[in-house]
Formats: sequence, C-alpha cells, structure tokens
Amino acid sequence: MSKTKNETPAIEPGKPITIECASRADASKQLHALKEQAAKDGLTPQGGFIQFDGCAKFSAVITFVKP
Amino acid sequence: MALTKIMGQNFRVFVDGSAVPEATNCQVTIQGNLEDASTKDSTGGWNEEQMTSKQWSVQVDNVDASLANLRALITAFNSDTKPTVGWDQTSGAQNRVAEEAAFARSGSAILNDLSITANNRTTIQVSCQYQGSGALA
Repeated sequence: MSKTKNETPAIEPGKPITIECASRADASKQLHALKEQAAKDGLTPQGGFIQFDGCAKFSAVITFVKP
Repeated sequence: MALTKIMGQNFRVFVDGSAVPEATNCQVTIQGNLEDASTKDSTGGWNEEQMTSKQWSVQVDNVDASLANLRALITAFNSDTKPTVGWDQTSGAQNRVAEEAAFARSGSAILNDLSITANNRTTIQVSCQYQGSGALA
C-alpha cells in the first residue's frame, strides 16, 4: 500500500493508495487531484473513501484499476 | 425546486476504506444521551435536557456470507482492533465508489455484534454491528 503525507503519490493500478490529511476538505482535494491524474492515465477509481481515525487524523483511501 | 433524495442502495457503509460488499440493508444511529437539567426555575412543567455524551453505531445486514468473510468477521470480533467505519453516497463500478457526499462521516469503531441466522434450505444471513469509539467526523 502506497502511503504518503500531503503529496500526490504515484498511481499503480490495483494498489490501494492512502493519503493522510489534516482535514476532510484537504483529503477531498487530494482525492480529486488523484482522480484527475488517474483519468488522464485511463484508470477508473474504486473506493475513494475519506476516513477519520476517531481522534484527529483524516486519510483518503482509493484504488485505481484498468477498465 | 425538487429536493434531491438519496436512494438506499447508494448509501453504503465502508470499513477500512472499502464498501462492505453485497450487503442489502444498513442502519446508522447517532445518539445523544440526555440528562434532566430541570431546576426549580423551569416553568410550565416541562423538562429541560442537556446532552452529556454522544454515541454512534452502524449496522449492516446480509453481508457476504462466504466462508472467507465469516472467518474474517469472527477474527475481527475476537481481535482488539478498531477499524475505520463510516458511510458515504456511492456510484460507479459495483456501486462502490465513494462520492464524498456532504453527509459522509467516519470514525474508529468496534465490531461488537455479529449475528448469523441459518434457516433450513436457505443461504445463511450474516449481520454485523459496529459501535463507534471516539469522535465521528
């Protein structure tokens, strides 16, 4: 699993990507940036859920696959 | 202007970032626990209430009843882990792509109720409930 902190990670089809963020809005921005990049590469998203750890941290989890 | 309504099939529960597969129904409960705050100053015979704590839980019915999933659920029940559980509006492939809807929320939760119903000549039905542990955001 690719795990980064506030930077757009490399997209590998079939491998889940987790991005840690400080807020839901930030996680949403990161997800949208990833989806745009993936669309250019002809990949489709699976999941894309924004998680909260129950204390302070948000993270976006998404997987891209080849259609 | 017509209000946009969300269809039940597009409201899905996510556990650790993935939509719970195959489920048919889900129920989200967000509850405030109240304490009677009435005093002699309260008038008209009406109670006054104050919220002293909050809790949330998610129930998912008819989840994947395969052997592998049953084993995973029982392992999760016996473990001390707290997966991230939440809900969102979905679309896309197998209706599992989260839409980041304004009502989407998540938090840590404990699988505290696992129910297996096995009736003669029908596929078993598995339901589970996650009790939130900590804030929902």
